Order: sequence, then structure tokens, then C-alpha cells
Amino acid sequence: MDFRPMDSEERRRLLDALRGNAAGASSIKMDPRTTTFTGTGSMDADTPRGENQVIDAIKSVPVHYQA
Amino acid sequence: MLGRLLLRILGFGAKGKLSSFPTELGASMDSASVAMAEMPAAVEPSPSDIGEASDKYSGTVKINSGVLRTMFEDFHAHRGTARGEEETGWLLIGRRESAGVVIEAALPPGEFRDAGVAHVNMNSTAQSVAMRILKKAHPDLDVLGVAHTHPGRLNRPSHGDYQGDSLWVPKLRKREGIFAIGVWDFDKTLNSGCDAAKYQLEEDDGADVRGVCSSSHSSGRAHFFWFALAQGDGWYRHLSVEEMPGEDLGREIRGHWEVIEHFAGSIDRLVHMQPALQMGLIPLEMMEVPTMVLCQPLAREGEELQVVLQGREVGFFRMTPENPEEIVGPSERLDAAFYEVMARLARGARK
Repeated sequence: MDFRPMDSEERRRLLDALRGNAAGASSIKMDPRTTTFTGTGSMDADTPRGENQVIDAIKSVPVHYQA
Repeated sequence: MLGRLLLRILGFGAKGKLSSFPTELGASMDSASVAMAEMPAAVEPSPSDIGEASDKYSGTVKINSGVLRTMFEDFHAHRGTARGEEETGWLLIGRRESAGVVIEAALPPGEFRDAGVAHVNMNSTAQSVAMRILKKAHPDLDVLGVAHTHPGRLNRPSHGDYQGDSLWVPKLRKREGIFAIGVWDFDKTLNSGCDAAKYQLEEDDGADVRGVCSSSHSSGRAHFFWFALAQGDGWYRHLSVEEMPGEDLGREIRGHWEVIEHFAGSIDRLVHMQPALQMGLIPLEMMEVPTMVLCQPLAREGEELQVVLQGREVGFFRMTPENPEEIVGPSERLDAAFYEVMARLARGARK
């Protein structure tokens, strides 16, 4: 595995992403195969949800009834 | 016979018959009763002016023609069964992209659903297992909403629907859901066009849907009407849904539905406890009966435990590069039997 230090541009992008994430405005994207930082995304709209969130939504489907 | 066929597909000789396992009906009914117990307190809809309707989905929601075909086939088949007077439903699955939303699958409510003439509570345990399988092939699929039928001619969501849906939509991406109401024998002759004001409504409770109904889909006596509801909305609004060519991604899943639903409770418990557990379906053209396989890696490199679910039968197979072998499992509930077999393998025993 390659453990080389980040270059200045990569460091700047990561710091921006961390600040955006801390402010609650953006998510930090990671390549699941290499755990490399791959950029930022909108917290809600651009980031596919995890499987557990989707399953939680399915198990929460309410009863549909005519009242 | 089935065991021998299956073993041939898995690549080794038959050594025994698959064991029959008790049904998982109990697990499904548990989830239904939990949902009933957590039914929300009454929430009164507060219709908003048409002008206040947000247009997040306007003109951007599409449904694959295969999905629509599935829903119509199901609706017609359902009406012909002994439970045909009950409500039925579908979980709507698809993708949300910047260009819009596409409905790409509709999962059935399951045989173990809890339903009556005025309510439906789908088997969410089976649907969640099906969704896990679907997401292996299509990782970006998400839950978009729910379609369900009304036994009368009420062609829009009821107050009871709103009570549940308004609390559910915050769990959806973008905190907004797509909903469809299926109606049987909706009388088109009394309803020119798609104007909500001209609809023939039964048991109308006075809650008007915002906006103008711009699309509905019909096949024979079955009709579907589309709506959207976002977090904080006082009531539903009409939704334009455009049919486009495309398959129902849940078609293969539906062919295996019986085996998925039968073992859903155990599988759901196993995937929570065993993150390395993989699920797969044997293509229907390869087997005489729907067959599902669970694969659990074992401690020794290159070895795994394969659990073959075929109809209501279960087979355990220790797969090694040299000598795959069948393990006779106990006739217990699937997850209990799984752990018993894993314990035996850890001890080096086979019985």
C-alpha cells in the first residue's frame, strides 16, 4: 500500500472538506476500496445513503389505512 | 430430487436430502404487530393553497414500463384471490439523481402481510431482505415511496394514510416520498380528464389534494393515481409520473419471493450479526424451484459455509477447494441451525 504524504493541493482539499463537514454542510467521500479521499458532496442530495438507512426506512413503512 | 439437482449445480455429488424448516411466519407477524403498536397519534391534515405546492418532483418523476406492468398484473391477480377485497400495496424502489427520479422496482407486500378492507401493513422484513439483495447489484437504489390500493373509489390518500406517511417521509432521501393510490373500477365516464374537482369520490373527507392531477395510469379496471408528500407538508400534492421504457429490476426477486419471505426473519437476524454473510439468488432458468444461497466465510482461508434455501428446505455445505461436503443441519429455525452448524465446524465435528 502507498503511504506517501499528501501534496499541498491534496492537503488543501482535505482541509476544506473537513471544515465543510464540521460546519455540517458537506460530506466527505471516500473510495471504499482504497480508503482514499475522493472529494466532498452535499450532505443530503448527492450522497447515496448507506444500506442501513435504507433498511431502516423500509422497516418504518407505516400501516396504510382509511380512517 | 431437488437436492440432487442443486448439488449438481453447486458442483458436487448428492449426499442427502435437504431438511424442512419451520415457517418464519412468527417473525413477520412480530414486525407487523410492532408497526401497529407504534402507530402514530392522530395528525390532522391542513390543506394548503395550490400556490404553495413545492415542485421538487414536477416533470421529473418517471417509472419504468416494466414496473407499471408488474403493479397492474399484481393488482389484477390480487382481485382474483380470496383476499381480493383487502387492500394491497408495493414498496417503490428507484434512483434519485440530479436529473430526476426513476421508479425502477416495485416490491410486493408479501403473503404474510397484515391487511383488511381498510388497511395494509406490508411484510417489511421480507422487503428489507429483498432490498439487500437488490442493492448488491444496484448499490444506489433507494426507497422512494409506497403504492397501495383503496377498496372503494377513493382515488387519493386518506387521513389515515397521512398520519403515517407524514411521520415516515423524514426517513426518506430529500425527506420526500412518492405515493400511489390504486383504485378498482374507477368510473372514467364520470371523470373527464384528470381534474381533481371532477373525481368521483367515495367517503370524501374534505381534504383536497394540492395542484392539478396531471397523470394517472390505467389498465383494464385498475387505475393508479400519483402523489408526493414532503416533510412539513400539510397534505399531499398531485404528481406527474411519466412512463418510460425500462424493466422492473425486482423481476428476479419476485420469482424468488416465496423462499425470501419464508426465511426472511432468520436472514434479517443473521445479516445483523454476520457482516460477512453474502446472499445470492440462483437464476430461475437454472433451477426447478426458486433457490437462494447464503455464503459465510470460514476461518480457514478459501473455505466457506454455503446455506442453500430451496422452497422450504435448507441444506448446509462446507465448501473447500479440495473436498466440498454436506453437513446435516438440525431441524430448527434457520438462524439457530446456522449457529449450530458453525459451532460444529469450530469443534471440527460434522454431526
